[in-house]
Amino acid sequence: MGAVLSYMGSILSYLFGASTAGEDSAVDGQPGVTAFHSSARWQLHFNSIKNTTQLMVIDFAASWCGPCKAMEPAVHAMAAKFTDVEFAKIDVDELPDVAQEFGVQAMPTFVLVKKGNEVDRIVGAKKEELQRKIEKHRR
Amino acid sequence: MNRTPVSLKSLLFKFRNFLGLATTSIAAASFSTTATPKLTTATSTAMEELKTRVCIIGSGPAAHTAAIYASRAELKPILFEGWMANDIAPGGQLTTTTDVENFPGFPEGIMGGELTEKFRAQSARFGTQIFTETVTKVDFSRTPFEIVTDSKRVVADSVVVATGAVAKKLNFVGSEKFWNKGISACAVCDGAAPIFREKALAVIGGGDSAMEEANFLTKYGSKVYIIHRRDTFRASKIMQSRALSNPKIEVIWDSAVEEAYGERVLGGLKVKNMVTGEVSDLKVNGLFFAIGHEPATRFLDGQLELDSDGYVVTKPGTTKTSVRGVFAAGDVQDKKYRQAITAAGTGCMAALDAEHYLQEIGAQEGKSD
Repeated sequence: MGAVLSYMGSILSYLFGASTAGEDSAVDGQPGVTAFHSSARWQLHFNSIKNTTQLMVIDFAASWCGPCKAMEPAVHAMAAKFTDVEFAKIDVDELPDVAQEFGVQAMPTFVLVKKGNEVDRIVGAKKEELQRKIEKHRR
Repeated sequence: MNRTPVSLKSLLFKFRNFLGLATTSIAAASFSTTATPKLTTATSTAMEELKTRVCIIGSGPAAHTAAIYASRAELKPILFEGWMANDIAPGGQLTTTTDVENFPGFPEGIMGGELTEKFRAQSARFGTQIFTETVTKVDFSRTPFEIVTDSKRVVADSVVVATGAVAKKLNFVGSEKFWNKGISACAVCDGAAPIFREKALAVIGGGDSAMEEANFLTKYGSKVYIIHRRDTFRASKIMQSRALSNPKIEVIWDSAVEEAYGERVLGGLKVKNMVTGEVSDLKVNGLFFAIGHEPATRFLDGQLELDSDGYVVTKPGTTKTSVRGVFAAGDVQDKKYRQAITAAGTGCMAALDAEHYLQEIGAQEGKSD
């Protein structure tokens, strides 16, 4: 019975768009960083993490932004290393309203969020600063 | 006086200079050991030591074409593409532009970033060792040459310098304050930011890049002003007409920006007409410099002859620099043409020049490697 319920639960959550970390990041091709392609999905995810004490790093990037591409391997490495931190990626062309909400001015911008509030931000492809701030805020 | 600590100390001081560090910990570590310590274990950061026949510094069309030729000539090149060197991503200036329509071989055009990815894949295919590290110091005073990053020290028989150029910025009141808060030198990188959506934007420049960037920005902004200090553009006819026929683009001729103002982000500019002297107000939320580039030669620390504009001097018709065995290709040595395809051409020349040089010194020293 429990198995049936959990099976149905997973079908329902799939239907209503709450993605597992695997699905979206399979699109991204790399484990650890979840890419969001719809506002609704993003909102759902953001709300779900709001009630936890988990740190989330939001990577705002644009598709032909050279510095964004340069940061990709570093971000994925940090996602693999800091498994207690949630990593999300938002393309500012796809989700301009989310980018606007966070006041993104230049790409890439990394916004660190905890309990629904911004705790820090890094503007530009600054590897060391990003790592330092993640380490600072992850507890 | 025991000889060992003195010679070790001088070795370490020399090494410290390469690392550019002022730490005393290295010296302290050395004197605490009495046995014969290896240089690498005595330092606090373990530098990886590599050897190569040709070391290529750069990441654009010049560097990668040199790498393709050098690797196919079995010279096992090492290429340093830089980590955000001069604030530009690996791939160089092409990563800061969108459609490239004049690079031969791409009749449908190709995105700048995509083109640089292809360059990289091609040089990697033939065995080029590519490191995403920025060269901090070089030593061309004797052979073999030394090239140093934060974690590597490369000893090379020949070097190709293909570090390209850095986007120029202008200085005026507010230019620093609003940097990355509305002012940028890369329209393609930042144009998609939400603060520019449906806002009036401005581009400073008069060349092909300025035209391309202005057109690109009309996708995001409500209006794009091109502010140019002269009364004609330097850009190619086709790019000029594209920009001038775009209804969202308006040109402000004979003018220069005097001041940038605003609150948290850029709110407007004071633009001076150089002919009439009149200063007018321009309400824009974004300003993009598209005024050209400056050769990236600072890291050379004067070891290669530069011309008055900072470009590496090369012997006409070759890529030979003032140091035998060091070659320069691409925008770092080209004031006149500065195109991706001419850079690629000189990259090839550099690899062939290097190969020829290696054969010469191999023959002189009577050994083959």
